[in-house]
Amino acid sequence: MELLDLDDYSLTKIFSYCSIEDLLKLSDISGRFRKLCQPRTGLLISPCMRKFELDYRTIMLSKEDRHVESIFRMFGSSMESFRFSAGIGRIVDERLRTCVVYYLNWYCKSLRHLTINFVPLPKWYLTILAGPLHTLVSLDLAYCDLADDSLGEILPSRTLQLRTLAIPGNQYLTGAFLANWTDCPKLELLDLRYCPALKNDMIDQFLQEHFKKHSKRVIVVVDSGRIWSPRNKDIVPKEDRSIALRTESPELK
Amino acid sequence: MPTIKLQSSDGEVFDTDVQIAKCSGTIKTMLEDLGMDEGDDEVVPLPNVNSAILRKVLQWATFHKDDPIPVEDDDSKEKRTDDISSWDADFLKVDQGTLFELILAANYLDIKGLLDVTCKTVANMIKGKTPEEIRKTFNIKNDFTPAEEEQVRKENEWCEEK
Repeated sequence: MELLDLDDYSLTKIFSYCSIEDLLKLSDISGRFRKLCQPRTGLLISPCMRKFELDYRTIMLSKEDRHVESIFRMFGSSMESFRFSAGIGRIVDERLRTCVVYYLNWYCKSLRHLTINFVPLPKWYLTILAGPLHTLVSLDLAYCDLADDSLGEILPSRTLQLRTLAIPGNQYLTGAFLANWTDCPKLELLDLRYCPALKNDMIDQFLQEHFKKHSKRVIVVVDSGRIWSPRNKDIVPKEDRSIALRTESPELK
Repeated sequence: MPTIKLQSSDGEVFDTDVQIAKCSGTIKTMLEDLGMDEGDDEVVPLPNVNSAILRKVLQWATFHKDDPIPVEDDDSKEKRTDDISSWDADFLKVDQGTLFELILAANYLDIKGLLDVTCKTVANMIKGKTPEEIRKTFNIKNDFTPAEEEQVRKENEWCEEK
């Protein structure tokens, strides 16, 4: 008896223990394996197909952004979570940044959690990222040199399902991006730590508008974990003014 | 100790401790649904498992008879393959044919623990190998057409270089 004599169920059970790299190689071996590894066939259920963290150093060492495309092409449709960080040095290859942003837009149709950290995202990149935005429940763009105008353009573009928006460390943000953003009914947490240019009245106005429209309070985290305490007490009714003592920064679930 | 008789596809009958036989979900259900009582002289036929493999399965089940009931897989967690016990690792030092037959038997007999450990063993034989090495290890013929092969080559040049 040989491996190919096994039924599809047994083969997919074996493949479910393989990493995303191994699955890519398996799909190269035979037509049957290729079919089994395709997420769209629904035969193989593997956690690695849904949650992917791009290791920047490995990619840069191998100089192969084709590898990144293979992953997105093969597993993008089933990917629920994607995380990419260029590290505190923000060393990011221009081609790789473009690829990641484009592939997220092209291939990921059911993404729920997106984290891109320490990767500068000028307006052009952010506009492309508006594609997968509508399926996200958490978005973390920490230290991405975001600007109010670009963020203010993509956020109100359609109704979002976001529960968490984490954009700490974006030093140029004043909060003007919040001005027209009212269509995010499920928003629970807005992480604005380490954004020194933030203006208090922008946050107050946002909270007021959001509460008026959705009758729901948003927790805004500013500075080093301090929770925003609105000066305007009309923003939330008296009984809903309690402020949690501590809020963890959002985590990828 | 109550026993039942299990008959392999080639006709061999194995007098087996009921507790051990019930490691198999299939046999457990058969006994319950068909109302077969322990101690009955009736034989439980297992037409999909030959005697050599059934012997191995019973050896595994005897060693693991006191294990806790395995929990359902959590599809959101990455699955480990480095947690195979030394006894299981030694037990699975068999030829590939036997290993694959054990997978089929574990699947048919619904023995999750054995299915998990056999699949992990095969996954470990796949991990880290290039496509060509995997083909060689498992004697798999390349069934891609030249056009498909070219497409595959273009798409995945990265893994040939590693």
